[in-house]
Amino acid sequence: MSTCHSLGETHVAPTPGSDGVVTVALAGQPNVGKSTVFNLLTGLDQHVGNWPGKTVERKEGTFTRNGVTYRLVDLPGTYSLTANSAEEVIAREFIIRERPDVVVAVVDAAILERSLYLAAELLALPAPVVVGLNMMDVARQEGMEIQPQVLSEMLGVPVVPMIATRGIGVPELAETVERVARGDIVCAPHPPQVRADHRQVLQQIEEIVASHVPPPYPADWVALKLLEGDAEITRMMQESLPSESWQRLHDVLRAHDDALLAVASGRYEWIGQMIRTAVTRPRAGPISLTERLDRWATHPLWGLLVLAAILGFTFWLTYAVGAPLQGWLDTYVVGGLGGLARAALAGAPAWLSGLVVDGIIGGAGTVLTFLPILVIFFAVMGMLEDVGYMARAAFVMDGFMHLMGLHGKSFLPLFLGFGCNVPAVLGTRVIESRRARLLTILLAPLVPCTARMAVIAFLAPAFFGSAATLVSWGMVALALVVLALSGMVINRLFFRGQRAAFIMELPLYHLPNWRTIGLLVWQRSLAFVRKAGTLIVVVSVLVWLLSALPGGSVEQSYLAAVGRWLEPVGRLMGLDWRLLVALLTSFVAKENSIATLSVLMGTGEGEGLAAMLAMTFPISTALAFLTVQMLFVPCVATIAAVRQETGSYRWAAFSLVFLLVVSMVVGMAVYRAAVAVGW
Amino acid sequence: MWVRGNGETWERGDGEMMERLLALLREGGTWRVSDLAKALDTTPALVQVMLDDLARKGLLRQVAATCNKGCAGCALSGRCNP
Repeated sequence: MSTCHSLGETHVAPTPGSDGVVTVALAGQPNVGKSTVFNLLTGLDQHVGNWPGKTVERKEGTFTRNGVTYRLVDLPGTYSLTANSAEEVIAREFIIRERPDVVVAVVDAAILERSLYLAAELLALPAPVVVGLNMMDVARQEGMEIQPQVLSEMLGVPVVPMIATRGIGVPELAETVERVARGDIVCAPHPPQVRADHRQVLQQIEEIVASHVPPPYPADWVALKLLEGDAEITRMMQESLPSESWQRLHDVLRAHDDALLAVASGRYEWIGQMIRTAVTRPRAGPISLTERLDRWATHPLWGLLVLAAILGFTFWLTYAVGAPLQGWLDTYVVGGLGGLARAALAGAPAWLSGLVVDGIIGGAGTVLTFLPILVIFFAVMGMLEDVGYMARAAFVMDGFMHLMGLHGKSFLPLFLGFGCNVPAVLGTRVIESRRARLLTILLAPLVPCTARMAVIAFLAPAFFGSAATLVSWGMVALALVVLALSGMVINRLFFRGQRAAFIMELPLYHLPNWRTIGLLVWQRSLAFVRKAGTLIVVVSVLVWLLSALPGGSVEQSYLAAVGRWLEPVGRLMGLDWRLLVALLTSFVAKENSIATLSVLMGTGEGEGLAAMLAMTFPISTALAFLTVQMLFVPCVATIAAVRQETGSYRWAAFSLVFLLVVSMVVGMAVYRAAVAVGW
Repeated sequence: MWVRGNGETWERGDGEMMERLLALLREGGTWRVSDLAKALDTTPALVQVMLDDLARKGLLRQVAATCNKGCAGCALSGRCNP
């Protein structure tokens, strides 16, 4: 560990805030290992929410050292602190308004030039900074020798070398934070200066604004941001300054409209000095592991093949391991619980037994049986993200995503949709542009999730026998083609083909941290169970009531009445009322289709249903049903997630109507085409 | 002392790095990031970061994210001597 200025081992208690807690803010650019540090320090003692008034995720946790509680706030990952995005404003407002006791700046040692830019901005803010120099192992692999002590002297703040993925340096980081918080280490940061020819202008601006800067903003920082042309700070000062002072300020800023470059130039000069002094690299270094792997992983053709192979393996692993577990849970846990409940309710009225066994246990069981598949899928995804591969997947898919007016970054949440559409919609939070995020949210339900795939996997062999694999892959391909076409159309009609600039860091490959992956899987699975579980159970009960009331058999139920009422529309796609009802119940959860058909066809869910379906419906109807099933409106949990993430019922309704229309139009086309060729 | 592509020389401290980078780019022609880094006595990584920043600020225009085809068939090939 390197410290800027140690006052020795004076055992003074840390100086917690008024609530007795020391507040520590964790800042850093995306992909520098900030989440790993956060997870290692807080463990499971963390909670996730949103920053007030924003759809930006806020993570907070606590840890205790020597009897003092530390509140660790994970600031959003940002490249700078200029008001370019909501994340950047949140990060700097937190530091200025909340005045954390310590700010930890996590920087990536292997890309120090890029990481230090944010550190340069943090040093100008009114909070003591500790630099966590992460990924030292990767930097070493790249042939870089960094001297943390020298860097610390240059920065004027403590620098702690770390390899967070292996937990190395994290205890030392916590110790340094403790020592800074209790005043054992006094920092005297050396932030960058603006270019020499603009220093006088900066002073002039500070003189104009000094007595009018609203607390708690520091006047020198406000002057710097004004010189930089920061829109938010300029607006704030326009409101705070008397009109005469504002006019003077305005004239000074207008006369120096190149100041933006002067500020940035000062920062890069400062970074250059840090690198020259503290870093040694080989003149012509060996080709790194990352470069060697990226020759394949980011190649326009081989990159796509590598991606296809990795995705294929992910699906194989997910289903090869997950499907038997799903079957086991369905048979022994859900089936066993249902049997127990039925036996326990033997003397109770039939409606109560039906409600508990088919409504509540059936609904909750659906969620439970999907967990193994989701956990495996999320674990593989988490590992690919953690080793740095998913950024390459985004890179090679960038060209394809541009067809829809999106960037490669949208590929990550869309891919998550193969597991479940709910985390896919939530996963769009990684996309900065509101327009791209909205478009990705609208397209996510078109990605075939595990539940849709399970339905196809059951029905395709029932209808098509040995051609089932071909039909199943055809259905997946159809869904992806419809997704691409929908993206192009929505982008042109609603967003008029706008596109934002996209710069994404390709992190160096590194060994995965199993703890981080474990926490990621835990959080995503929990989000699924919370959001989907409650809704699925409630709506399952509702559907069961509709299928049981007003009494008698399913054929006489309200649900059947709705299906018969819709039959004229269904006939356009060759679907009778039973298939329509199966589609309607899939709104609750996709796999409900099979359960509903088994009830309506009067068979169990096994081979009896498969044989009955094959005898009852022609191939044209079967194809149309699978098509509509694949493209139909997403489940209710996904729609709820769409509403939450877009913050609008209008977009949730649009998503629902759009997918309804698309599924019917494509279903009709498939049916007509199949009839025309004599199927 | 450093020598530019056109033979002009300068010492470190003649203006700051970002201005010198812009000056080099204004001269026209094609530069490899590694050559720019040598000319500015810094690392390719810092040059890349500055180029990205200049593009974000609208002072440079990114014409292609990657170029894997080499110079053959490139519309700009007539303007440079690789």
